[in-house]
Amino acid sequence: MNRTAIITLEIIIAALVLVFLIGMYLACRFTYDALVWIFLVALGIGAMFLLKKHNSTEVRRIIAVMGVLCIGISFTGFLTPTPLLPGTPMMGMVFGMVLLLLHWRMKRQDGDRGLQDERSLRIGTYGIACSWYLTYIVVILLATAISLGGMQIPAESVILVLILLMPISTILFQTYYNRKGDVY
Amino acid sequence: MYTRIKEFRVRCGITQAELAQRAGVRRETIVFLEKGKYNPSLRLAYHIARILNASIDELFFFDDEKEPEMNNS
Repeated sequence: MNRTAIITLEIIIAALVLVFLIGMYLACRFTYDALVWIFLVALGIGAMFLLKKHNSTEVRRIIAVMGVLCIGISFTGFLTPTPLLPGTPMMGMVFGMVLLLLHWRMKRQDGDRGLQDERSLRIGTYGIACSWYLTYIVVILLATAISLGGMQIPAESVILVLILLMPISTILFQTYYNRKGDVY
Repeated sequence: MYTRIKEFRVRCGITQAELAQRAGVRRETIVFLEKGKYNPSLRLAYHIARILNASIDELFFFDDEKEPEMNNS
C-alpha cells in the first residue's frame, strides 16, 4: 500500500472515530465523557503521528509525560467523585498506558530512527495478524464461557480486556519475531 | 539458508551500517541476513548483490546446496 493510501485510510479511521464519538454524545448526552473521550482519541492519534514523523528524544519525553499525566488524572478520577461515567477514568488509564508503551517502543527504535524496511514491515504486519487471531480466540472463548458455561462477566471488563489485549499482544508478537529475525 | 554477505562485505571494506544505509534497510536486517536468519525479498537480495559486486547465486545458498568455492583471484 502506498503512502497516499495509508494517509487516506488513517483520515477515514479518524473521521469514523470522531463521527462515532459525536454520535454517542448526541444520542446519550454524556457531555463530559464525550469530550474526554474525544480528547483521548485525539491525543492518541496525535502522539502516533508525531512519533512517526519526529521520533526525537524531546517528542518521546513529551509523550511519556502526557502518558503519566493521563494515568495520574484518571487515577484521581477513580478516587474522587466526578460527574463522569465510571468507564471514562478507566479509558484514561488505558490511553495513558498506551502512550507509555508507545514511548518505550519508539525509544528502542532510536538507533534506526524509525526506519521501516521490508523486514520490519513484515514483522509488524505478522505481529498484528497474530494479535488479531489471539483476540478472536479470546472472544470465542469468552462467548462460549458466557453462553454455555453460564459465566457472568461485566461488559466493562470484557472491553478492557480487549482494549489491553490487542496492543500488548501485538507488541509481544512483534518483539518475539524481531528477536527471531524473521516470521518464518 | 546460508549467506556469504559478510565475506563479500569485508572484502569490499564496508561496515554493516554502511551496507544497511546503501541498501535502504536497518542494520539489524543486515545482521540477521548475515546470520542466515532472514529470507530477503528478491529485490533486496538483488540490491545487496549489486552493492557487493556479486551475483545473488554467489551470496545466497540453501541447506541442500553445496557452498560454492570462493574465487580468490
